[in-house]
Amino acid sequence: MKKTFLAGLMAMTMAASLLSACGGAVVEEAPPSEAAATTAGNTAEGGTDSAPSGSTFTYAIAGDTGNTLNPLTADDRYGLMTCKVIYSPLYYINLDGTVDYILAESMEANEDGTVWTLKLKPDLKWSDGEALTADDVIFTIDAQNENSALLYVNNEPVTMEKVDDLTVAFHLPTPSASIFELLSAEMWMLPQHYFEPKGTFDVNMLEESPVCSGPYVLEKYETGQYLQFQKNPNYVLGEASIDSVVYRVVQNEDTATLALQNGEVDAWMASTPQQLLPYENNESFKIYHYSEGRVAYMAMNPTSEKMQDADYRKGILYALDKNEIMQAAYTDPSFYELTNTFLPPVNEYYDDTSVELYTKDLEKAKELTAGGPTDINIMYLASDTMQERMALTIQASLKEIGINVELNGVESAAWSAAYLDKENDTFDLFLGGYIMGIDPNLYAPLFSSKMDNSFRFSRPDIDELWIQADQATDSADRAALYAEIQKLIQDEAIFYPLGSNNRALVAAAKVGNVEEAGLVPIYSIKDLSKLTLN
Amino acid sequence: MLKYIVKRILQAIPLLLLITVICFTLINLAPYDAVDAITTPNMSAAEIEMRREAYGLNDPVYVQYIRWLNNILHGNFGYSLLSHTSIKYDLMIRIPNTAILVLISYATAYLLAIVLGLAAGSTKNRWPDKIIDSLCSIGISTPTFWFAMLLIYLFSYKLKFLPVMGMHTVGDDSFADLARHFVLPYVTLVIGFLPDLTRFVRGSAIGQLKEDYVVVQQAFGAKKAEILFHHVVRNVMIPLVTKLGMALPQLVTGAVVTETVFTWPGIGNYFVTAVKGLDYPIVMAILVLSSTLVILGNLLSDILYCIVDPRIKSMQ
Repeated sequence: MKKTFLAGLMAMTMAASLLSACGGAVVEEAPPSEAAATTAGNTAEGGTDSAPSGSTFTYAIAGDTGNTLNPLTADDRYGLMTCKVIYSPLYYINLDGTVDYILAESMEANEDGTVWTLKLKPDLKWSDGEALTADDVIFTIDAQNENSALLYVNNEPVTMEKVDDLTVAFHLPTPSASIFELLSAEMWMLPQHYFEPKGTFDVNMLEESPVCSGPYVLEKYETGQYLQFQKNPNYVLGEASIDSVVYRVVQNEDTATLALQNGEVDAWMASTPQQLLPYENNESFKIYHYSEGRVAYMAMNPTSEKMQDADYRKGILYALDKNEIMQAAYTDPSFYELTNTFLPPVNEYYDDTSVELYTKDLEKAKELTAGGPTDINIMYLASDTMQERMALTIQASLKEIGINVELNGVESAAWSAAYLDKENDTFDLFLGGYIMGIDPNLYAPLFSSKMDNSFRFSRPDIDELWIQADQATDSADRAALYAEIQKLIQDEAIFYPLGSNNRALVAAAKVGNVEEAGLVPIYSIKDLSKLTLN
Repeated sequence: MLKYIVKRILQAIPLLLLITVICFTLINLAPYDAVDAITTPNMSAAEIEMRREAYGLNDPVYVQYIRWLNNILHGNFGYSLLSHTSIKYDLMIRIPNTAILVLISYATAYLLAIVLGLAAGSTKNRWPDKIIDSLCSIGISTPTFWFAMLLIYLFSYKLKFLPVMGMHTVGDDSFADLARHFVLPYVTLVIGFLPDLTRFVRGSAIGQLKEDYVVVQQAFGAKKAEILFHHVVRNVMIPLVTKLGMALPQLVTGAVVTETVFTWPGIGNYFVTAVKGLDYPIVMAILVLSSTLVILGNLLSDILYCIVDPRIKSMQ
């Protein structure tokens, strides 16, 4: 028995090495420089066996989605990326405020802003050929509301009314500009005829291929390995150019970059400037920098006893140079853009004309911090090398004015726990970053003491301004109100915006139309259907 | 014998329960929970609280434990708190992936270690021993991830013999394709397991070669190979069998680093991701599995002891 097992084992081992040698022989003929330019079906990896028919775009993702996809509750990056491929929202709002209408033809408010009317495009179809109508929209929003109270304004629900098969009216208790964004992006429309009889929104990707409306439909999910999608002939913006898309799970970044250079994947998101070195001045690849609308910041903890004095806080800010901090973290200016308010510079309401910039002035800094605490600490994510470098730069800058900063690097769960606990006074400064959305009202929970107040502000006048700005229907009025909020927040010297860092997508040169397809936060590629393979 | 095995398994049950209680308590002692890993700045406090309530994280620890135990006893491993996916399905696919990789690699390393260890032990302080021993020293001090990257760089990137990562080419489930993907992680793991086992066999062989029975055999004029492979190897096998039993939990957690580097869809990186996110249903499921394997491994060692050394059986 033991002998048979061993013999079998040895036979398998030998077969493995023999096969690998055979596979290698086929691939060796291709010169290395062409490896990246071969199509996925013909890559070094697939050399031996059947090549899939048609074109395939393989994208490396850093984590597995798991076997179940729930489009209502998906909140991790890879779950959301999968939803983006197979489902369509009504419309998508770009970071600069422009709107791409996808399933919707229009979404307009009446004069007083209390009724919004949604019109769907005519002849919309699900991937199985069924018509996509106003009933699906109402079904989806109802389901979303049941899951978490989403469509509410001032704690009162928004009511929906089906006008006809292509029109839905939304009645608001009070005017609200942010309702427009609530119905965009992650609000994927879901097929009533598929999910209602099923009784659950959980899609078991191992067994099911859900009815959908996105550019691609799910073909296959392999645990921990890949998700494969085939193009949806009924996609509203036109059938995709590439037949099949594969999200390949590659958790290790070193492996991912080698796989890209080897042609096993066609695109990958680099996370540090150093990772881009092999691709710079390399004609087989293209690097695309784009903004995620993220704001990296340093903030003061107003709960901490040491941070009570506004002049002391201002003094600290006068000792810092945000360009120096961002450059230390991201090395190359193509990786970031400096920002002076809580909004990312790409936002249409971003206005730093009247805000206090706290330009570095050591004399002023010394004067303002004189007599204040000389030992403080800074909390940051230990696993984030960018934040570590920022913390080190801040430490060095404050040393110049005689303040010693203790570095306190923590795990992300510990960071979140400390950040959410409003009573926590164990940290004085902290580093972080957020991606909030496009409408400036979505930033209110960060600074309004009537809401979550993540940064622990206590300014009733600012709280009032947030409400006024959201209720204003005229865009010029809103802009003036948000400019005022941006100024007042900077005056408090609690929140110090550093910059908006860019992401870098590296794609093989054969992948075309990347810019036309759009590069956006979270999903990276906005509309996969627009990509081409040459 | 059967009575002995049943007795040992029954004894293992309270131990297993104790392990789960300890693990559960330790996870709950952490000053944060899974909700902290999924919160984003644009989530309201009410929303966070709702999630905590929905996941049952607000209940007392013992209530959470009993609920979890009840589910496990019904074969329900629950859902990941972070990705909301069924843990059972993930485990059903990932465990065999890891098991096949670790089993074959460990078996290879085990057999090679016996040969190399005996060769080194019987030539103590001479050149074969010195070479094997030095290679083992290098092997023990080489980080697995670095060696794995070196293999990828050479065989996948430079020579383009083998794929960089994964278990299958997309859409190709053939054995040949699996074998091509298998080679590099397999070699990495064999090299990872080998030095430690070889040194163990070497040490054990050196000890045995000093025994009286070897002198007696020599006096009887037995050949060196005969002494080594007929008599010494049997005695060396006794401590080695313990190693084999102890290695059983490695079927689940034996290849964490290798799996991550090669993107092998096994249990290792699944476990690490879960620990980082304090996704306790996954952590507990894997801990229960691996602690069960530790207990079963010990039992297996004891049974194998009786087989390789009949004297132990007669002592019971």
